[in-house]
Amino acid sequence: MKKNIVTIQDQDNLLRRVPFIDPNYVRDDGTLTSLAFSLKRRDDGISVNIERLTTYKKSILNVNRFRLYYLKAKVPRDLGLRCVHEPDYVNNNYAHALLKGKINRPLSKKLSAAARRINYPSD
Amino acid sequence: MIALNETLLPEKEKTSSISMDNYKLESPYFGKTSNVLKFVLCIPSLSSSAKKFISKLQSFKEYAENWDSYGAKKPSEIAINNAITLIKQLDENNLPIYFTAPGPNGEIIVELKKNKIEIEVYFNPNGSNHIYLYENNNCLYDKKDEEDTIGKNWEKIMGIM
Repeated sequence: MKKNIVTIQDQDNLLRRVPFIDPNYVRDDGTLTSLAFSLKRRDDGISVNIERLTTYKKSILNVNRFRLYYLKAKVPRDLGLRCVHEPDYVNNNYAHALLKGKINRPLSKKLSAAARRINYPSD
Repeated sequence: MIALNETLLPEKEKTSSISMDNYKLESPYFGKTSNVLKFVLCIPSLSSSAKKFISKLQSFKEYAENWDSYGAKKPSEIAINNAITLIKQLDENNLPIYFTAPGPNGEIIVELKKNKIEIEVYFNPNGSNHIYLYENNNCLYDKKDEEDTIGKNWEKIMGIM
């Protein structure tokens, strides 16, 4: 059953899975490489999950391979991107959203630099 | 034929060498009891850091499609091999290799970092590459080329790092 499309607020946290063992997008100083927010060719945008519509357990998929990082929706908006709720019904992921717009590597670097880690599973 | 047996040579005989691409060719040694010309071919010793990065790059060949859970392509062998060549060049010149990883489109990134300055070199699956220079995450330089971007920008990289 399809649910409503929500409006993403500036203060919404947008979650992104990041591989943390080889291949690893977390550098030695804890910062992320630009690749963590890179666009895959032919994709409409960068996939994220809206935090308030999901759980960390569901979003992380595999705690042995990934960690969760978040951006406030205001961050990509301030960089000229749109944050659009696009549920992924194929994968039963209502929280799915896309960062859309002109995404190039320098912009991916800014997104990666602004991302903060979610402490899950807790240290 | 080039003899690979370095142990045949007394240490004091190994007095000079010349560099040829990735190899060091030591001066020919004429044994006191033999007229056989012997060369010693030594693969230059890479730093432990460079070896670690190369080993990591080699391991990327094992990754399957969708290794990142977002549909990433399998890392490109062409890109991996080009990245390994760069790692060797950087190591020979004592430049600070910082990080490497595969991207979602099969590309490979090699990063250099010095204080607030970062250089990202992307090796694309089609053999091209792309260099970005950042200071405090702001892009100062962005150069794409279909061939030999590294060679054309080598002096710049050396100067910055």
